[in-house]
Amino acid sequence: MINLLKSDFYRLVHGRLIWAVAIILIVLTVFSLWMYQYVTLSNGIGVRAATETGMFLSTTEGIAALTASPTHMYGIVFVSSVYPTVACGILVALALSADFENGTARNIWSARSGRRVYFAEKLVLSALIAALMLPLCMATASIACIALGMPLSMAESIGEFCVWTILCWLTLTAYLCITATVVLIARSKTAALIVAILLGLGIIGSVFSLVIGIFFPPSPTAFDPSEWLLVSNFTPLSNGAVGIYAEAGHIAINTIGTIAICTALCLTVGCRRDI
Amino acid sequence: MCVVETHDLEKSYGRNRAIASFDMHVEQGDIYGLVGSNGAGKSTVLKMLCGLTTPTAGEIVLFDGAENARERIGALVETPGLHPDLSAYQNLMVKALALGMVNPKPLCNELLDLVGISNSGKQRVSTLSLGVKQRLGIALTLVGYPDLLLLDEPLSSLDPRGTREMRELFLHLVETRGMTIVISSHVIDQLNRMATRYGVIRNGTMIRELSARQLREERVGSVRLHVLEPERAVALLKEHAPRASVKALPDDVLIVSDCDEDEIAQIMHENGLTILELTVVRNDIEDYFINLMEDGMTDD
Repeated sequence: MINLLKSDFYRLVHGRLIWAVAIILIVLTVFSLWMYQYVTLSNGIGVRAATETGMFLSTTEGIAALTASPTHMYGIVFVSSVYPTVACGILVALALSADFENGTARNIWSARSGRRVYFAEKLVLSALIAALMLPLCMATASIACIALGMPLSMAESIGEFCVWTILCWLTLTAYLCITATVVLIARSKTAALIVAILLGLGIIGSVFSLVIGIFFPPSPTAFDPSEWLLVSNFTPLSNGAVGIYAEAGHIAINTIGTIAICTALCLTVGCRRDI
Repeated sequence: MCVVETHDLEKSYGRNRAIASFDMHVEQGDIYGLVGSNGAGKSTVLKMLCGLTTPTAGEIVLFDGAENARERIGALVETPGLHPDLSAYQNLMVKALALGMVNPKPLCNELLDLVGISNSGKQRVSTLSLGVKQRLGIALTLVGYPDLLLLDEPLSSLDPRGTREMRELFLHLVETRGMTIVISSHVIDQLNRMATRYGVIRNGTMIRELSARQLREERVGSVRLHVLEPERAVALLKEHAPRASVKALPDDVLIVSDCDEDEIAQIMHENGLTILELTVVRNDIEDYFINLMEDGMTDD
């Protein structure tokens, strides 16, 4: 597993793809932060900063809401906007499908006794990509915030910050694992790219919510399966880390469950398919 | 040691049976030429041997049933699997790291040198010619110097010089490292220059396995004999080798069929006849294999 990870990271670091995605994430993070500041300052009002309340805030309030806590700022800048999920999804789709498109998977499969480690490694790789790209977005947003003259204050505790970061990473990992599963089972770059984009944009989640809504009409007492879709994690995460403990269990179960299902599919259905 | 042994190997894709009752035996140090027409099942067999495809039925025994035997295999099946945005050297590093090689850099440089592409080592694969890519594919199979190489059409895309260099490399690897090589090809002329053993596959079934020596013997079509006394030679052959058929040509030349060249030489020598020329005229190897692949002759 470690050897395969080393090999994959060597390939990614010496290739162009991961750098291209990293640059796109940096640019989009800076751009969305700048856009937020620009729109808030130029229009005076008009930015819905507090997503949970849906209130429209004044210029000062808008900037203050943004800089009240780093996680709240991250939530507005790159959690509620979906570009990290889409960009990282595309990275995983292209990086993993290249093995099958180029035939390089044959080099590894033919020199190893089992396939399971290969499949498990790809899921771990997806988690590691999420672990690299999320801090990149966080660091970029923090630096850009300071550079744009918006000093951050720390409203959340260290514990809340850490829990929020882990939950964000788990959510991104779960998204990437779904894309990885599609690649490893379908072995198709096109299918993987379509899933990465539609999933990242929340379109698949919305469709599922719609379908679930038809079969399980909303009721305060009845079980609502749409609450257990990955897409439902975005609202609590984009509100920042303050009060995240209340949602942590739900998000953790949601994401870990998704990752577990993906792992099971890869190690059973994926492993059985030949090249 | 038997490096590859298959028993009743079978592979079906739905109702289509690609491989059926396939038995194959490859000994250590063999260069085994797997010969068959397009679609005969050569690549499928190689894929099964290296674990890319799971057999529907039957048994594959590698290295006399040794554990982790697949880790001793280097395979080039279909096209060389290369990352186009990496250099040739980096492609080798990717595989070396995946196999857990300690200090892989010298090995990668050595392999580039071995296949004669050290000058192209730093170039991106997407910019390389087909021939160089093919050489790189062969180098990839050699990462870690496996005991068994499974090569699917390894000489395709190579120019004549490249073909000769790779052929010499395979012979060198068998000689110096004791490797066993299974090569699937329909370029029979090239196989003939290095293979020690052949397997002929037709419609997914092994119809014949034979050694290079057997092949040479079976390809003997006739012997061209130039002697000083042709009439006496004909009489001696009729007396000592009655099964031989002899045809006289001008200039004291005889064409003798169905008689071994050693036997002819012995008959002439024992009866004091001077041989001016004795040449074995072999049947064309391509014709031989084409006949075998079409007729499926199974006598050993």
